[in-house]
Amino acid sequence: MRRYDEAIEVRRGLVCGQEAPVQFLWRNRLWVVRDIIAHWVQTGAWWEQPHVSALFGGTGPADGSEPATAGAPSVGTTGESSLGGGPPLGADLLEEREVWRVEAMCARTSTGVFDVSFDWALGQWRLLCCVD
Amino acid sequence: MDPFVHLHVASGYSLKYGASHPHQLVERAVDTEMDTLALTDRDGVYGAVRFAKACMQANIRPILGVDLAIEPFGSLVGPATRTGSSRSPARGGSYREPAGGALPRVTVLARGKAGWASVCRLISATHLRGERGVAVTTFDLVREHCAGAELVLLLGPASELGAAVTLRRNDLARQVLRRWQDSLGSASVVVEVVSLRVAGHGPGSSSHAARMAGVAAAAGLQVVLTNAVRYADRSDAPTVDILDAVRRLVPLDLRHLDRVNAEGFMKSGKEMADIADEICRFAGFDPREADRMLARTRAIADRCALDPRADLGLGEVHLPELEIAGGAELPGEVRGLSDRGAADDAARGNAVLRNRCEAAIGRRYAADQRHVVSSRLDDELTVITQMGYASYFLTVADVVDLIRDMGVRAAARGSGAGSVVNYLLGISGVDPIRYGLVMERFLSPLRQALPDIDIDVESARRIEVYERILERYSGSRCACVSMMDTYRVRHAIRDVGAALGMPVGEIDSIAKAFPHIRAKDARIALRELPELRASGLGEGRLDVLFRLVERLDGLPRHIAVHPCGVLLSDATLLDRTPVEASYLGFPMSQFDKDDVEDLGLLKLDVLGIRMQSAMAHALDEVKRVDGLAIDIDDEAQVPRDDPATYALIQSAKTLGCFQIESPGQRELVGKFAPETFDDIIIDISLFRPGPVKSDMVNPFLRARQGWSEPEYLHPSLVDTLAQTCGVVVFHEQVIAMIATLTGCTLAEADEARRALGDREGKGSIKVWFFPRALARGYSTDVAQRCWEVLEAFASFGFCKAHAAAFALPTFQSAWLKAHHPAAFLAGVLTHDPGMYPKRLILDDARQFGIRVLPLDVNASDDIYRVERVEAPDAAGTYGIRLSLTDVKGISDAEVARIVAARPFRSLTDLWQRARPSRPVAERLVLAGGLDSIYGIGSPVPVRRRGTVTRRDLLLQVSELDRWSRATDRAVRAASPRPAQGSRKLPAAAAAASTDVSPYDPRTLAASQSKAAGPPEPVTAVQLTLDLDDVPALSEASGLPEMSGAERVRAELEILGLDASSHVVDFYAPMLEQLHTTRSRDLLQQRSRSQLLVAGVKVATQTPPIRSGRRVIFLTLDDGSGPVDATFFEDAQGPYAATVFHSWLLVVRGELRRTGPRGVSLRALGCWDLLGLHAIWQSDGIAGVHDAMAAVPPGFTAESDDSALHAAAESQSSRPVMARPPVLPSGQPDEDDAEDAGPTAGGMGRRRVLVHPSGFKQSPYSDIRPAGEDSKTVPRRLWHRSPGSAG
Repeated sequence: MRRYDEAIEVRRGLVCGQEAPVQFLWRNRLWVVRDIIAHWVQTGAWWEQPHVSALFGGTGPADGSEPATAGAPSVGTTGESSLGGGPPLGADLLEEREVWRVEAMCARTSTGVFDVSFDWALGQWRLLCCVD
Repeated sequence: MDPFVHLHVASGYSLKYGASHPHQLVERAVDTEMDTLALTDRDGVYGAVRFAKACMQANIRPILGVDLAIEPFGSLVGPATRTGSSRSPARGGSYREPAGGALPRVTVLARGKAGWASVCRLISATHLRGERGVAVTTFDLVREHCAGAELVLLLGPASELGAAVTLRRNDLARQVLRRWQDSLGSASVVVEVVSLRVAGHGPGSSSHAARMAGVAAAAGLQVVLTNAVRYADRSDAPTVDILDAVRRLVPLDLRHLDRVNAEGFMKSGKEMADIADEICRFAGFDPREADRMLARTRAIADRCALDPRADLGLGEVHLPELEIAGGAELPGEVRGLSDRGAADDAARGNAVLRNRCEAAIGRRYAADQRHVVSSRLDDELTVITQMGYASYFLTVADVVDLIRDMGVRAAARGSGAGSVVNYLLGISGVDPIRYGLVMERFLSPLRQALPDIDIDVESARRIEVYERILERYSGSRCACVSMMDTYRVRHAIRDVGAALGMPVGEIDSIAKAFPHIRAKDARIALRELPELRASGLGEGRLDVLFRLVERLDGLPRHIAVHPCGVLLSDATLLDRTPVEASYLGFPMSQFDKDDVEDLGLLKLDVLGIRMQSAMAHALDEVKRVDGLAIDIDDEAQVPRDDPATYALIQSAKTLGCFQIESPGQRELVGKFAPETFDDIIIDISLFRPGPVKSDMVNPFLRARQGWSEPEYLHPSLVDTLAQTCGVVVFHEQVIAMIATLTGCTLAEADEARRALGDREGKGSIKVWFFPRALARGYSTDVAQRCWEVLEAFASFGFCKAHAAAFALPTFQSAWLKAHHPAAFLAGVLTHDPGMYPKRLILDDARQFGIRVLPLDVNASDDIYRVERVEAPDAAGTYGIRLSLTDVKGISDAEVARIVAARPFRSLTDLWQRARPSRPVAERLVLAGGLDSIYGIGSPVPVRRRGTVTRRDLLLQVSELDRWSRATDRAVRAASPRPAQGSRKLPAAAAAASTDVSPYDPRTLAASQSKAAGPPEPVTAVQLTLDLDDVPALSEASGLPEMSGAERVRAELEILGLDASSHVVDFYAPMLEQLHTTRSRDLLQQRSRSQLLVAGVKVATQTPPIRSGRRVIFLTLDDGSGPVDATFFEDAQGPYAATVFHSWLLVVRGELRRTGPRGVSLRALGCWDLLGLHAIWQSDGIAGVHDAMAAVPPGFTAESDDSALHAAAESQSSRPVMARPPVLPSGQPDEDDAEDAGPTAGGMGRRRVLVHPSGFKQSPYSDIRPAGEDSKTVPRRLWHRSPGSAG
């Protein structure tokens, strides 16, 4: 399994009667989704976010550009989620992302199994890893 | 309408598991248009009544059930399920799942009334087996309660079935299912599939759900879809993380949490349908199967929906059976009535009640009063018969008789004193006819609620009383009421801080900085309270912490037994409430006092009152020392017009007396000068927020002292108001006024009085009141003025019956203080009933000419004893001997050994026979407990060589300790160590193993008691042989004796008392240079002069006051008497922290005269005396002056009344928070949209609670009801009220 965590462009649609990414553009190649193997939702370790870890002497929100969660692959890079505004607590702590494990095909020749994620807070699609 | 129903929902009543209150879940169901909702909390149905009531209001059908851990039966799987470990989990210890946490769980839903009863009994049985607090059920218990009963069993992903499916062991899954099917029948077993869209194939994933569905289909079982809800809304997910970490006592980390995403909230039917589709696709089912799954979920919900009234019994009344309550003494002709049917039962109850009352008339009343009494009795009995409450009165009378038979003092309190039935039955000791009390305030035919009688008993014997009641009514009719401890700000900070992994010291200091307020108000308090704003807690980095803290607000965290509620009902009690064991091993209902009332169970408040214990102790001491047996309840021995008693009260030397000892009350009794029992009733009623608020005290006092004529609103009201000089003081007067003005009955008038309490009611009463008053010939002007008085009175004011019930112990305590001050104060010191620290009471004793006798191991007891003193100077012939129990760290067993083994001849003797621990022995020496043995007298600078000093004894203690260790080691080496494990076989095992009684919650609960057993009986009191090897005190070391200052310091540290002299005396040199004023000289000072006072903090209070601002009242004691200082808002900013957190204080203030004998200081500043003294020692008096001159920038007060008016105008029946106008700056906040408004004199924006009556009150003031002293905070050297930090 190779990890990437790179931004991709996605077109949504129905795959096997389920709403999912239908096609995605990754490293300038277009992959077409053939099947959905799994689908889940996950949240990150919100207590490792910079403005939370600042509580016990970590780096403050001022220099929170570097995600404190680099070690955990499942956690996004949403360190910039601001503290000053007033979004309800939870929304800014949750970092929910929906993940599809899909089997995709590129140019009818190469196939692969990928984890494609959608970050609800940022509205951003990312390719997390290539499983196979 | 959304047909989907959530069948598996945990609320916050699943302790430290669910994140939402039941009403939030119900609101969410309303929002998503659901018509039915289940509540299946873990381990109990604590929230069931609240949930059912919320459902009734929202017109939603409730379903109730419980989610229980169960012992696995297969050879199956799963993590370690050992629960036998005796170690309790600790923060920072090894990681452990809380008891029962790792076990499989099943959910049981109730169907109909029978099903609910089975659920209740199943929960009780589960809690009462095994260890307390570990609710783990078994297959057999479930089968026993479910078989044939109306229950539905849900097997979800957390069950053993789920575990088998996780392992892909379909054989085991089938085995599990077959076992349940065989015992319960296929119809009652339902498989619950849950997909939280978790990654992988474990529980919570769609693939796991699909496999569960597959197994169920193969076994021919029904499948329902749930979402295993733990929170109402997606955004509550972080709260659940905190709760998971808190429950397991670990910091937040992914591997410790149950949830990996935020899907476990109350999803809408649409979202659930998506999940059903996904599961069916993974299971390879026909797509239509998803619809069928949802339909079956709906069908199960329809089957299980309960009717709160018919099934739960909300609003019914269940009193104990007549045979139990009063049947023991059924008179012959009554027993003759056939005992068939409920109607006969009621008739018999009424007859018994009438007989008992009539029999008592002769005892209680003189012949000339009988006529009045009989007609009053007839009236009351008519109402009681009509309401069907005869059994209630007989039960309460029976309980009071039980208590009296034990020789425990008992007194009724509350409105019950207004009933002549209560007086005749001996429940109350106040004659309602003599003191003009009405019954309608207590029991009204217009109100369908059980009346409320509270019984005060001696606090020291409260537990005994509970045991006796429980014995009498048995565990199937009687239980304690529970009380949910919910998160408040300090606990929430500690738990959130620990979960986030903050440093322990930092968490501690943040938590302690807050007063005891709601967690929800954390950030508001940060902005409003000056001492918090200065602390730097408001800085941005802590914002997340406080937001999480506010999320925990009000969530239940711990169940505890209510301090006084006892539940009495008939033999079906356990069908309506589950019980579990309390800490002390009493059966305790899972419902709290409000729930119990809704369920119509008789709740009797048996309050432990320290004053009753203190009085009992005083009477015992009088009997022991003087041989005088006094019955204080007997009016012949203790006449209610005793002049000595009233002289004492008028002198305001009422420290220690019930109800009249607070500074405010002492000021009031000084001005009021009560002369009769009626005056005491009035005095107690006047000292309430109501009278203070409507400014009734001053007009009353003026009229009372004859300085002005009493003013009456109308001549027809003179009868009612003459007793209080025209001022309305009592509820009873309001009732009578309404009745007089409108011509209605007293019962109707009481309804009107109650309606005046809220704004809507007030409007409707106004419409009702005016036409009737005008029709009766009152002028518009009079009606208007009367209305204004009634309106202002609103919900405040005081029930005269309640005041009369209070006045009795008040009078009795004052009588004791007047006639037997030594015995009385010994009782007060032993049981500590009041607000003052013991050291102040001791000071009071000295002023009454009583000698304070020092601690002495050969004379001190476990209580304060009165001793006759041969006084050479006739300065009193009594002394009070300090008690051993006040020695810091001494255990009950040590006290018992010392008392049993004395007299002692030497320290060695004490060490060997009483076997105190080394620190206790050292403290005994330091506090002078052995002075009498060694003839150590008062400290003198130069002593004869060779005399023994306390320091020599200390040296010997350490030698003795070394010697004991050495000999112990030798003994242990010689004899084999006793087996360790066999120790733990207390009554618990014995009770559990003897199957004599089939199922009695009382014995089962008792066997789960966690309380320490009684200290082992003292046997080793024989004289030990004085062998040569014991280190004896050979010669004095020549060390100097402790100086007086050192002695007092040691006494304060060890006993919490300054027995030999006053603490402030040691600072006298500095205070003299500072020119502080002593308390006794204050009266001679000019008004408005600025002066300095110094002293020990005795009390801080933040009572509700008229303006709604927070005011801190500080009482200091400087050895010559008390000094009262008041901190208004302008002085609080820089000084509040000092006031709350320091112990010895110097206060600068401006003198105000409050009355002929009263002065008070308006504080301008305040400093820590110890700090100043340190400066004085290094820099001299100039340094002190500099330190006091360095005052933080000045503060000015300013008010903002427009917001107050707005709040007062609002239509809410509850207090409304008035907010100052919001400036368009700062950040908008989701919860309260509060911004940094105009900072009024450094106080920030000030919120004020505005009651419907217009009464303004600071949100940080204390509103404790009077006299409820049973659950006081652990007292230290000074009294502090909950509104104060520290």
